[in-house]
Amino acid sequence: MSSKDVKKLIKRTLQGEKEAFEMIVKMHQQPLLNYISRMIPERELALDISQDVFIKAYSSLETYQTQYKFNTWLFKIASNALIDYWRKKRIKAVSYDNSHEEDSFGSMQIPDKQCSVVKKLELAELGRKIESALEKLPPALRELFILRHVNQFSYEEIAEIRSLPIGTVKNRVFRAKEMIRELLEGVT
Amino acid sequence: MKCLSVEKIYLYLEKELTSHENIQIQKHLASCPKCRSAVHERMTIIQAVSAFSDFEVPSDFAQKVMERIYTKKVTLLSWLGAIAAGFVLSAFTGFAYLLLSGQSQSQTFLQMNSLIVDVISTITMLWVKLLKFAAITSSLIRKFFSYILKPLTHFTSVISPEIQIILSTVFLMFLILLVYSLRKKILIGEKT
Repeated sequence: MSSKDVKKLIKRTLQGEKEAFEMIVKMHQQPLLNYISRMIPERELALDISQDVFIKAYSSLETYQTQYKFNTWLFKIASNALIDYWRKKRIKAVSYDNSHEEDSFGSMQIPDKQCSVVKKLELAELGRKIESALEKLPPALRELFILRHVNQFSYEEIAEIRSLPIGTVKNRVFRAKEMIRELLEGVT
Repeated sequence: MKCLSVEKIYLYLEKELTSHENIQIQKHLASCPKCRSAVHERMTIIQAVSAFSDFEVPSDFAQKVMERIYTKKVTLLSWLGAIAAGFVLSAFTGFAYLLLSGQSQSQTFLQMNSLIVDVISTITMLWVKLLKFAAITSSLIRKFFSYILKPLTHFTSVISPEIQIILSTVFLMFLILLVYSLRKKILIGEKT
């Protein structure tokens, strides 16, 4: 379904058509839950937060500006919901110690002796290992990695969702991938 | 060309480089097994991520969301409906009782009329009492503020307007600093 169709559904929802919003929920529930469930591993809690995100989207649908992509707007609500959750849990998870960003990551060279992770693990097994390595990543890096590689958002869209400069987003996604690779090296 | 940096590898894999850079990298990869292996390894990791399994969404997820939205919206309406229904039901019961108790129709209407008048007068009295309570509360608040403002008025009459301006500016700056520092403490998230 195209973004034009989503905008039509939004219009119908605003006119009071309940079924139109239900269709919007059905269209976006899978990607949203793929994202939230990887940020909050407790299944029931992830479901509750996802429901809250849709309810919040419904109640503030009038403020949605149609020139923006709906899923970017929805994920921005979801990202804020996660921040609220961590804030309530008093987990310092959203902010990321950006002192690492001053490291010369861009010029980091490939070590001479590459541990051949790929040869040792089959792709499916690798996926499973990456899932568990993801849990060990700082949440701020994990979130950007999921948005980029699980939800397939562009760097521009992620920058909009997380209100961060594109350069920072790119750098953190690269860093997340390198951390995952290093964690995988540790398990092989 | 020297060996690729990690960032260059990711930019290459995500097609974020110019076609000229891509060609240069491809030439280098053809002759450098170390970089070829590094690119292949990272590419495989990204491929494995895109093959992640989907979260299993319960079949009634959308329905539950809609139920929560609907319940939220209906609450106010249902309250109003319940009050209206209660009022109509009690009026109807009273009317039926009076008719069944053998009273004439005119007597029934008269009694119903007095009942309605009683209800309206009780509600009016309740509103009057509520308004009185609000008036007392507001006068108490006014008195409370006058107690606070009196010494301030006295203070401002003693000192010169120039000093008053200086003090107000200092106070305002202190207030701005306080709000700013509190904001920094309260806000959790990325600095944009």
